[in-house]
Amino acid sequence: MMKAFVNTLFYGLSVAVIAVMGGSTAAAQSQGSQVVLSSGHVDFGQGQDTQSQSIKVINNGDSSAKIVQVTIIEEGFNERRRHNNKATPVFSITKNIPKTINAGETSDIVVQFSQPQGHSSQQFFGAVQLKIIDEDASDPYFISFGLQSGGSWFERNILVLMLLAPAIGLLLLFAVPKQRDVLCRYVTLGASGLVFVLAIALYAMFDPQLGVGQGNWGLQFVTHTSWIRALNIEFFLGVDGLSILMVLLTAFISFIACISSWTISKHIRGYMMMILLVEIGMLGTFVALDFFLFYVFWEIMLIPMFFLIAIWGGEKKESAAIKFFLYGFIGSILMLVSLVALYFNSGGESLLIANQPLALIDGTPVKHTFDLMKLTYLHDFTQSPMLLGVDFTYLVWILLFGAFAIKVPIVPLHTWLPEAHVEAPTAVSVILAGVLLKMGIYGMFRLNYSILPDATQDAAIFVAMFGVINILYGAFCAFKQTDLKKLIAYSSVSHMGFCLLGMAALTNYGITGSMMQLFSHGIITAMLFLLVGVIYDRTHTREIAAFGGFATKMPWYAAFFGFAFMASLGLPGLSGFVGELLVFIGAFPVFRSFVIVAALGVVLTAVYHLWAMQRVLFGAYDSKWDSATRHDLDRRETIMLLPLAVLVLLIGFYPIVTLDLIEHSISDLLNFYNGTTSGF
Amino acid sequence: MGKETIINNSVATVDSMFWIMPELILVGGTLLILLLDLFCGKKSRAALVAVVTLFLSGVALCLTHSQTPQMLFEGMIVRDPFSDFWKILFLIAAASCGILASSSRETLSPQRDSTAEFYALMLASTVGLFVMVSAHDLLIAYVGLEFVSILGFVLVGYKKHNRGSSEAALKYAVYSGVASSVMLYGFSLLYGMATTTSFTGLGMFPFAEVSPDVLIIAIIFVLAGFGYKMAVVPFHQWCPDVYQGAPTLVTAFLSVAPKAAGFALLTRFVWKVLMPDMMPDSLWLIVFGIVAMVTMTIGNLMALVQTNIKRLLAYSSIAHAGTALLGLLAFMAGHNQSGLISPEMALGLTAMMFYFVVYMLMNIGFLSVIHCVSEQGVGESLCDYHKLGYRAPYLAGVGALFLVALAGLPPTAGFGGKFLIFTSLFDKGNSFLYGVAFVGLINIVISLFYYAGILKVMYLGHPQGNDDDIGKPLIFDRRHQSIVIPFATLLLFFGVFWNPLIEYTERMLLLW
Repeated sequence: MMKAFVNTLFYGLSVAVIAVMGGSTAAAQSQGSQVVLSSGHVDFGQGQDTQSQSIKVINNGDSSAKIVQVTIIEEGFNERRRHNNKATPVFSITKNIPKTINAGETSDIVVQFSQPQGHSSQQFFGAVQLKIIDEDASDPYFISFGLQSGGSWFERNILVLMLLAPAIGLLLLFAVPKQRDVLCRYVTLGASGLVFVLAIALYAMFDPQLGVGQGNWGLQFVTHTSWIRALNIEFFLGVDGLSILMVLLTAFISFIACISSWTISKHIRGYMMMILLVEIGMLGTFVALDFFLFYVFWEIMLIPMFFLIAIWGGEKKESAAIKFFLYGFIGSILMLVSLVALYFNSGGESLLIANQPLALIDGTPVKHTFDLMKLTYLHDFTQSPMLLGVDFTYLVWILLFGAFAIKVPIVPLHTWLPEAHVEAPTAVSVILAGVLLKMGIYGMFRLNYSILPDATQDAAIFVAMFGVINILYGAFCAFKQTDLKKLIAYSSVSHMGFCLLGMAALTNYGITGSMMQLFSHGIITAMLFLLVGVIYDRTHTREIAAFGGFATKMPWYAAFFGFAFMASLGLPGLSGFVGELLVFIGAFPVFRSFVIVAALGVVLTAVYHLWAMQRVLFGAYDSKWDSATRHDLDRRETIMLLPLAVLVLLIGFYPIVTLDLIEHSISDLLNFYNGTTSGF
Repeated sequence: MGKETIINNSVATVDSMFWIMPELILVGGTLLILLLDLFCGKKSRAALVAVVTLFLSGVALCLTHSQTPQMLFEGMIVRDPFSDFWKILFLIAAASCGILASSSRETLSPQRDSTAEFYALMLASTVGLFVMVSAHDLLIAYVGLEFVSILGFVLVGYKKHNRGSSEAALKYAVYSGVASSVMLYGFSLLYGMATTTSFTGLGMFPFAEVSPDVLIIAIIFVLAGFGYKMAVVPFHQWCPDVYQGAPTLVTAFLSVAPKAAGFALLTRFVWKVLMPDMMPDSLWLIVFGIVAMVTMTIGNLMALVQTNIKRLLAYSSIAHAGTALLGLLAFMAGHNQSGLISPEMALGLTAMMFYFVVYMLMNIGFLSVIHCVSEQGVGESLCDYHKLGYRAPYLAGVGALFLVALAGLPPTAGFGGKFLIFTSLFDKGNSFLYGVAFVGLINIVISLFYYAGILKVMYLGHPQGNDDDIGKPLIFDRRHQSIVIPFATLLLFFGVFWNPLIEYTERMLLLW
């Protein structure tokens, strides 16, 4: 009792002491600056029409200060070098700013916001910087405040809520009493269900008409505050056409994965925590728009995934988990290097417009930035100095490409994938194939394609080559597989090849096809792995040779199985076809021979899919499965399969639902490549 | 940094006593513990007295804290924010180990059932550490260093009738003797050239005019002594044996506090003696860079093959010392002629200080977990940790968090520390530093193998026996919770919110 008291005392007081110490040292430092603002932030709320607000400038010092320069920074407006659209500024200063503020005096700055035509609830960000010279001091200093307008509270915070929901679920899981497994499942289902509902709201509110030309870089649902000041790191979340599909996919697939986790009984609490952590990591990666934040979310996902495979996996789970972890970690290190390299080369001479002010969201002037939008639209790295004897853009491009290639995965870095898939439990396979692989391609779009367009153009042919290799190698490997899960894993490798081929073409159709393929592959593979899970739960084997004749015994199962396989091989009318077709149309004018070879892959794909389907569903039935096949799909299994099937069908027949969302962002992305792309 | 400022800041000897109040309180506490033990015996409550003493010393430290450096005792000792930073670190390290030690089987003196001696030694060695980081004279530096070492021998050999512990103490003593004598020889050479032992005097002496051969030998001898405390290659051989043999809590204390003190002392030596006159020809930059690279690589490679968990942590702590040295390297690389700490230099030093705070949290944290496990009769070999995740889910869960931090992965502060170190290196645009950083990055990957190896043993794998036989569940008692959980929470907190810690280190950067 006594000791516990001492411990508490010590901790409580040492925290107090450190706080006092911090406070006293801070007080000692705060001399020198004299001009302060009454607030660091001006918020125009929902931002309808034209309105103005004022902020007070107070001189607390004992000498007068002179404002020598006023700069208004508008996020996504001042920077239209790569886009020639002329947009009218939304923030302006109406009243003349006093040149000199005497000691003890206060004066007002009035900022006006005028809503541009058309987009009523669009968010705008900006900042005002005042450069001040003290009467006696020689060094000028900056004071600044941030500007924000547009978007309801819900729109501004929906992405934060999406990240918080799993986090709160995670904390609730700690509170669940022991032996209450069912409660654990419901808590997790509730958390990921909430994310799913929020994602539907996101879809409903998403305005597909917003492009980069409309300001704020065409982003929506932005949350933007500073985070780690010492390194200019910001907490910057937002969604645009490149990421919206991926966010929806993640929320959807995670929800389905939670339903499919119902059969897990070993250490259920830990399992559910890991699933929620992975969900946070994946969602965060897709919505983060600060490179550092992106990296952190990317890393966060590694460790829970390691445990998911390592603890709840199959027979050879250890080697699979460690292989997954190490491959992923090496990728992260590559990304870390490029992260630091890009950071230190940002600003200064790399800027498109020399001496353009670079600032944090609250206007603090900075030398370097991690902001992906600023790196994309304000910078041109082609003039950066050579690094280790290699052209800077090429080196960083290769490092980033390597980091993402491991996730895609690109042959020959794919060896972790089949093992991880085979050993992972069903729900984890679903997440792995449904979302995780997409992070690689998404990363290439967000970083390689956006920040380093020149290097991308030079490397496109290699990307296309890798794509064709992936398609053919994956298909050939899938042929030989006797394990159903491994077959689907290799078919994923093959399908990712189509994404690569499409994106390499740098045409509108090609990139659209690549994104479509990403989304539809996410749904279809999720379905395939769920179906394998269903049959594995009943028969405890995945050997294709052991099955046969299931069509007559489990008709509903067979229907879904056949449907999913047809979708996967690219049957017209189902979602897989849309992506592949667009990829071929987009890539043909650019890489004729590659496309012809890749088309061979389509034939192979059809062959191994049909062959596997035939062996499982038709042929001789082994009566040892009588007890296993007594029950067709139960209600839970139908609930998780049906929405996926509906979505596959919907996109197959009416792809506009998804095409609409991404159209604007893709044409914005292609603006970087104008002049070299053929007419598509 | 002219002569005038020195005079302005120096404090008369009598007034100096005010500024060394924290040290005086520690000394008083040490004596009080010994007296109480003499008169009250078992009821002396040494743990309580020690923790209260450490706390009071902390309070005194904060109350007498000043942003202006104070030269005490004719410039022998300096009191600046930089030294205060390390002192706070030592107090927290000593207090956390002290709280745990109050019930530890390892630290109870078997004959008398009393922990008084242990606490007296612990407090006294904290005084030694204080002297080390405040030393502004070669002699005082030597006194502090030797004080810490000698008390260290006793602490390491505290497990009576234990061969491993005694062997470790002897090895520690022998290595320390050699290192100290070599360092003293270096000091004498320096004195021979500059005819002064004060850092200020050495800093003002034009070393460029003396023979570079002797100078290089002298500096390398001095660095050998510091390097021994920091346990950098090639002065690291004592480290694995000592860490393995010593009582676990002593290992926790030794792996953090003296190492940190060594870094602080080296930083001051570099700043005061090397920088003014000897830095331009980047020789020392290259020497430090090579030492850092070799230290990281050897530490990590050796850790890969260890089977004893404390020995493994010893090698990992060697590797961490190498990484922290990179921060010092960035500090040196930013050197300019102005005699002030430029922003580029500050970045390196901030990174190093940040790294040490984090290192203290994760290393003491993980060793506390080991201590908790071994108190319950579990061995120290890696296979004894088989399935720990199922025997003690919460304990192992926190342990896993510490391992993730040690490996330098987000969202823990371990990542923050590594990231700051590497950005400070890249910041300089120096191709040699790029190379060093590259080696450092490879080392992060290597280190992952053995940290993941521990995780693997804790959660998976069946080295022997079947899956069902995982041993009896272990208890995660209140005392360990009270240290381990705040440390883990802080690691996560600083992993997400770096600002408070960065700003704190930046304020404490003022180095006289």
